[in-house]
Amino acid sequence: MPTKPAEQRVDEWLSKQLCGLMDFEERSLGNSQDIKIIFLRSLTNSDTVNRFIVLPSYEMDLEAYEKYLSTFPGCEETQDKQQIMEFVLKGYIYIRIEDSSYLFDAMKIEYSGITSSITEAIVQGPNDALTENIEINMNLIRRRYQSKDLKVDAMTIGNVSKTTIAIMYDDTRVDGEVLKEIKSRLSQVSVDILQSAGELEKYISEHKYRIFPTTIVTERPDRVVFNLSEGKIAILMNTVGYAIIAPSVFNDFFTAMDDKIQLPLVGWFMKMIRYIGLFITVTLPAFYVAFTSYNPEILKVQITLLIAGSRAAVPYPSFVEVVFMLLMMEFLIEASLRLPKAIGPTATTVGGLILGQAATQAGLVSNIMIIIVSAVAISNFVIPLNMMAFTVRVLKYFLIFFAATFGLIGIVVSTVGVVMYLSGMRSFGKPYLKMFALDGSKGKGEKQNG
Amino acid sequence: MRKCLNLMLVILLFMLSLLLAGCQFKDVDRRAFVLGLAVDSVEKKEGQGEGGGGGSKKHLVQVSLKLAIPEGDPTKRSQEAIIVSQISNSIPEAVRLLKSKVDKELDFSHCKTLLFGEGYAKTDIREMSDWIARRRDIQLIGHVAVARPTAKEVLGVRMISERVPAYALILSLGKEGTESPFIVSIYSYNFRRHLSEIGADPILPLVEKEEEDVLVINKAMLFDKQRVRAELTANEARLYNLLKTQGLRTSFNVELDDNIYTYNMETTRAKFKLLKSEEGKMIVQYKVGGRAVLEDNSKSVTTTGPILEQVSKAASKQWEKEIKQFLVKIHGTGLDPLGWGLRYRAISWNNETEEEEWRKLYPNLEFSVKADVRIQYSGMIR
Repeated sequence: MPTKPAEQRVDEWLSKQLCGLMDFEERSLGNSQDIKIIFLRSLTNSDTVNRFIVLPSYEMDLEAYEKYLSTFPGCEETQDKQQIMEFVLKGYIYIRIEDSSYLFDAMKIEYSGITSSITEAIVQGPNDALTENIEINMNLIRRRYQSKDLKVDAMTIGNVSKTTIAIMYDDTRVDGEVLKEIKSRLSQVSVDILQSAGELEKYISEHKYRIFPTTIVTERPDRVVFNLSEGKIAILMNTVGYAIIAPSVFNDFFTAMDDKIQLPLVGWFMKMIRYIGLFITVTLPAFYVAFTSYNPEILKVQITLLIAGSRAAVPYPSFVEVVFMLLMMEFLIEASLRLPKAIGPTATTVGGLILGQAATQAGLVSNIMIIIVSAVAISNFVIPLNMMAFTVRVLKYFLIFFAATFGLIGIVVSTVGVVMYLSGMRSFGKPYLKMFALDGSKGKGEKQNG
Repeated sequence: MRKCLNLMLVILLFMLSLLLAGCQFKDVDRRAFVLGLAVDSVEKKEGQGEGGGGGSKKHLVQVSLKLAIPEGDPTKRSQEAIIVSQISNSIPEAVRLLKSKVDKELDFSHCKTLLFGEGYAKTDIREMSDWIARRRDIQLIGHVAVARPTAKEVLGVRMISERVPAYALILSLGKEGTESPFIVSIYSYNFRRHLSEIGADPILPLVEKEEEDVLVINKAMLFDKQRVRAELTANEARLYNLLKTQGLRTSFNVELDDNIYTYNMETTRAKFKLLKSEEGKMIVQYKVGGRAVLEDNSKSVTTTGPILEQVSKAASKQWEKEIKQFLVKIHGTGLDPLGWGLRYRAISWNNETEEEEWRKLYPNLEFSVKADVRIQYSGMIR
């Protein structure tokens, strides 16, 4: 049998490289045993291998078999050792027939089907969430955005993880500057492992230490589509069930997908509620500190006396009380997030009972404080996007600090400071505190802004 | 890395230092909130007025404070209050002495009731009003009143209806609760302003202790720039309010053909003009009026259009008579609580001489009142 020595080396080299792996398979097929296949069991679909590769090899001669293989989409002939290695690690099957070698696509992809979205629940409207498979995600998006202008650029990030990312944008609406900026930043990312959207978000953002998110991380395909139509850019990632949307401004984080379902006046009301919730959750604990320690004259007599009375048994200054209760609340939130579903209710019961009742009866915190903490906790969750909700959770301690040191003036000045900081921020060159990230002049985009 | 660690340490130390709040950091539960302040003058006796630092013992004052004891349980019906008082020869000194009678820091920021005892108001109120205006934590939106028999006694009255100490006084003096037409409501900033203003004199409501837990506020006191000069009766206080405010809610009686008609004012209006008469005298011309609804009549006469006309006319005539009497009485005291002088200064151009001119014009002021009361039928299903 005439075989080239160079080629001999390819499959020998391959099996030498991979032989230590538990799921490594090397087989000889055909009546004359001169077809050789090499693949990784865990990455390939055994059904495909058996039906389309193993069985036909006994039913036809070599020439027919070679022709038969090359008709499959996703099957290619190559001699490049490096490429062969890469593809085998991806789940391709290396097939050697005489002197030619083929790569056959038999990838087995496991993912958790299309589920309904969990982190961004809405009342009415589509419930699909993005999955871990980029192909399916693109399917979900393309089905909702049937336009030839929807362009997809692919990239690979991660020296080890080799995560495929897709940059999606509407060619006619996208801002060229922003697109260039994003692409250049993506190309500069150099990491080993990329496993979540948040990570990538961190790598492509401007500043290392910042508190407000400048890109939306979403799991809703309809939000992606809506933002694409506004001229924004979506970054999809393989193995990650989330998409990144850029540029994103402050207002975008307070837009729920419900807003478009609701009647206009109702929608505005809901949006107003969210901003009020933001204000309350950020300032209420700080106001409590300021009112109890510095400026009790602002409140009505009754409330002042009520606070004074309920604080009478509390030994520590007001801000210690506030920080203590807020930390307890954070622990409760964090714990109920991480706890297994089966014992989840325990956290809420124990936390609710102990924090709500016992703490006041023991005189550790005042009654009013409990009300404030619950108001803060509830209004925090009014913010529809998690990234912003977490930011706000941190932000309120900043205000408490200034309220505890300077009273009401501290709150005013630190609020002004936060607004100034926000005004100075840019999301991929777009002013962060602007109402809408991209100008409405691009047609449809304006009308859809809630 | 080293730098980062140092930064962390600094931040940690900084945070920990917050726990050492110290004694200057006064939380709300370490303050005693003064809800009412009363000042009386005291007969001079030997051995009183300690801590006064000798000096001129021209007069002694007794300062009483009503302090709220905060109650944590809002379901409890009432809140306790304590009254502490101190005699000294000046108000700030008395307050300073009072500080050693309470366990918490005195906080005047919720002190919205400021009472002068009648005796004090009749001698000299300038010190008190000066102190109120100067003191940083007394808000100038407090209510000022004269108290009878003494301010301390009035402050000590605990109305059954009040849930926060001294709140009944705030509600009624500020007309936040009751809308009695007899209460002349004056903010302390206005009082202070009228004390120094040329062309307007202060007026204060009079709070009387009637029974152990009943207060009556329906009279008023007229001040010059220093002390009480005259007292207004309940009816006069109401007329004052009628002339001073728009939309006073009150009712009046009018007698017509032996039948007493009572009508309730829906709207009232009052304005005045200063006119020069031919003899060079100044005429204060009031135009008052309003829309009213008939409330009852003593003989249950069927009300018809013509009768309502007659009643309206009679009511207007009565108003003209009563208001003119009232104005003449005020003029007789030589005071100016309604601010005629202020108006004169506002409309005259001769800035240098206007004060002098007004002083000459005032004794010969004449008054004319035009009243226009429209009484309507409220409608009734028979």
